Amino acid sequence: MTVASYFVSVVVPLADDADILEPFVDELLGVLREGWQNYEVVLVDDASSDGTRERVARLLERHECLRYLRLSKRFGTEVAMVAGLDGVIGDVAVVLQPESDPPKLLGRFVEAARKSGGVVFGVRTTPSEQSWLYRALRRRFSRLSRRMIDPDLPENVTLYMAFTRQALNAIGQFKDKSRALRIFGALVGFSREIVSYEPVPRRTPVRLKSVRQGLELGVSLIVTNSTQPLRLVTLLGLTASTLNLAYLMYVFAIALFKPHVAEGWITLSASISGMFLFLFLILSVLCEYIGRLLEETRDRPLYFVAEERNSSVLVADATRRNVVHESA
Amino acid sequence: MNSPPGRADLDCVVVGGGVFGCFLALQLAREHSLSVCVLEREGALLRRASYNNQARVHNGYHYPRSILTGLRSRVNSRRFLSEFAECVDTTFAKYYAVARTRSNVTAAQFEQFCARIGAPLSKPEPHVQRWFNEALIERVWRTEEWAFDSDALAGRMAKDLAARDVPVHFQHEALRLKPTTGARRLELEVRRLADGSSYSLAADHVFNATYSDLNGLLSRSSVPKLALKQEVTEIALVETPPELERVGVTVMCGPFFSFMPFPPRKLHSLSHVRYTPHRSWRDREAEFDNHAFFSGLNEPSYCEQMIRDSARYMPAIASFRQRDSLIELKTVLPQSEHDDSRPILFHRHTELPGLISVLGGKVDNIYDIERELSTLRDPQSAP
Ligand SMILES: Cc1cc2nc3c(=O)[nH]c(=O)nc-3n(C[C@H](O)[C@H](O)[C@H](O)COP(=O)(O)OP(=O)(O)OC[C@H]3O[C@@H](n4cnc5c(N)ncnc54)[C@H](O)[C@@H]3O)c2cc1C
Repeated sequence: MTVASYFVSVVVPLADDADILEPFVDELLGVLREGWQNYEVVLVDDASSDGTRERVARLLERHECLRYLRLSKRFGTEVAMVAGLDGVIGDVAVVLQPESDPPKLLGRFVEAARKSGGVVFGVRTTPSEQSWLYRALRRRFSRLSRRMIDPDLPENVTLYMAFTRQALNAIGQFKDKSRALRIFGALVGFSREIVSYEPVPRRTPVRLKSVRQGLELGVSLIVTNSTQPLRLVTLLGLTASTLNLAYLMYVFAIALFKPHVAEGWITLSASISGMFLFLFLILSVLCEYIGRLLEETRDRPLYFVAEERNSSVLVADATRRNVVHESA
Repeated sequence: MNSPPGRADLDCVVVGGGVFGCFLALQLAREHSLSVCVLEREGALLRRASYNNQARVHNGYHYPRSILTGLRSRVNSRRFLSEFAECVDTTFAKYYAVARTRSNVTAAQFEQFCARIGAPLSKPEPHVQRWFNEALIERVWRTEEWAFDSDALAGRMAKDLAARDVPVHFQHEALRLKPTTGARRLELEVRRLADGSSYSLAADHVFNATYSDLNGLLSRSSVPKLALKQEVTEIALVETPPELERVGVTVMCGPFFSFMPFPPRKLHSLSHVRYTPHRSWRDREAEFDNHAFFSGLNEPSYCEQMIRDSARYMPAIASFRQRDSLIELKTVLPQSEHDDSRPILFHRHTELPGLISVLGGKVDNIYDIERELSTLRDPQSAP
């Protein structure tokens, strides 16, 4: 394999992954060392509490070109990825998740990125091992987001992705609170490439994701990235007012043509409850938007880095490693 | 044993001909009228850390988290500038910038800090503002900071030492020390690197000013090691595009970069908080000799990484061309690792009375030694 001269950065988000960390990083660096002369790996620790930090300390003594960022609290996988991507220096940056994404595909992602000049999405070919409810909601969400955000968003995209420097610089300018790399990757409008692969779980059974958190993320994603719900609300509001108008005319007609009106409370309460239904629907969606607006205008940093550490390869290894680095 | 090149019996011997060793020897001869000689392993003065560094004459800006260090630094730099005027380049424009994210100091805090220590800040010219990536840099200021020329400094030190008749023996390596019962307190064994022969010197005081080798001399003399941390560091020497030739920039205060003219080579030095330190160890945990290990080291260069990361903040850096790199051991006191303060260490070894180790944090705090020397004659009263 010829060794390429451009620079590859790899960002790995960690969330309580101490159990699978070391074999993963060893494999990842093996792949990098073989394929590229210039590379860096950034491990972004999303405030793990399972001893990830101590394991990383060992890795920093073993491998060069390794960097460790620890976020001050749990911000979520994609924010962790963004925190890593914000500081990488490569021509191509790849993100992948240790629990499912095989490092040996790195070459395909990097090549695809260089070919397309934009963003590469990983797409899983096998069904995910999450619960049926999670999967069903996930499917629904994909369909919705394709309708509301971007019709070309590929289905079953994972968080194994690659970005060229240009795409990364563009994404870096989004300052949104809830970051969704998959969607930003599409929104920046650079050309896309797809790499289909079969995720290889490193952990059996796989860790199940919470349906509630998934739902929350889905709602916030659609709301931050699409104004379609707001249009729907406008439409609803219009319908409601049309009905309201009809009802008013009906009341007028009654008043005009029926001399003695003693209508029952049914019509009254039905109309009132109908109106309130619409009203609350409208209000709830508006609230979601207003909440989002508030968060955006607060303009807080997306994340806080609590700590950064770099490789400090042990002295005994020093000379040996150099040779590897130079002769590549 | 051979006979020594000069007097075999002196008040003081200074081991190490870096900035600190030279300054010490001068002070001892000039202010205290003591007989003194300097031993240096290299073939000239100021060849190691005193040459292989960024050459910044600190003027306070660098320590936004420590007012005291900032103030002290301003006093020292003023004096350094007046006493070594011909060794300092003051003709370039120096800018400081604060990054938007990952910075330990905000623009407002930095301005407040500089106001308190009286370090001048002014608005940069519009074209300077345009050098920076606005998305990543919060604010930029024009400042007053200079670079020293270590070749000129070495020449000046040699001249001053000669004027005081302080002999300097080059390619002489201090091997080990032992206590004596004679007229002088200490006996120092010295090796001539040229022919491997050795001789011994007797002295009342031996100053160990060997920076990264402090613990080498100590352990050979069976004195417990000091708690020091060593870092293999790289400062890249680069050629800049013409518009940055008379310019220096430092981005505060976190994993950022700094470049400024490097007078002895007519190039620019480029350092990066993330890539300048390559690897590190603590002397007390290491079993090898720093000098032997360092001499055998074949360090890769991380200049490309420095340039790539810095260019994100200042795109013009992408056209820097690497000409060379200075690889050197940097010695720091573990307690000053987390704040930026770089105090000097002036340690009297009680295990071997008369032996004093001196570790300088930066070139312009040589002046902090003076007060310590005044208590030399009465060691019992010293802390
Ligand atoms: C990467 C880096 C950047 C820096 N940047 C700056 C900066 O911008 N501004 C600043 O002010 N400071 C800076 N410093 C710090 C500064 O370089 C040091 O504080 C200063 O040079 C220390 O001087 P010294 O005389 O103690 O050490 P040195 O100059 O290293 O002198 C020690 C001398 O002792 C000799 N020696 C060692 N062992 C023996 C022995 N057994 N026998 C005889 N001789 C021996 C060595 O050959 C050497 O010449 C930087 C340091 C580094 C490493």
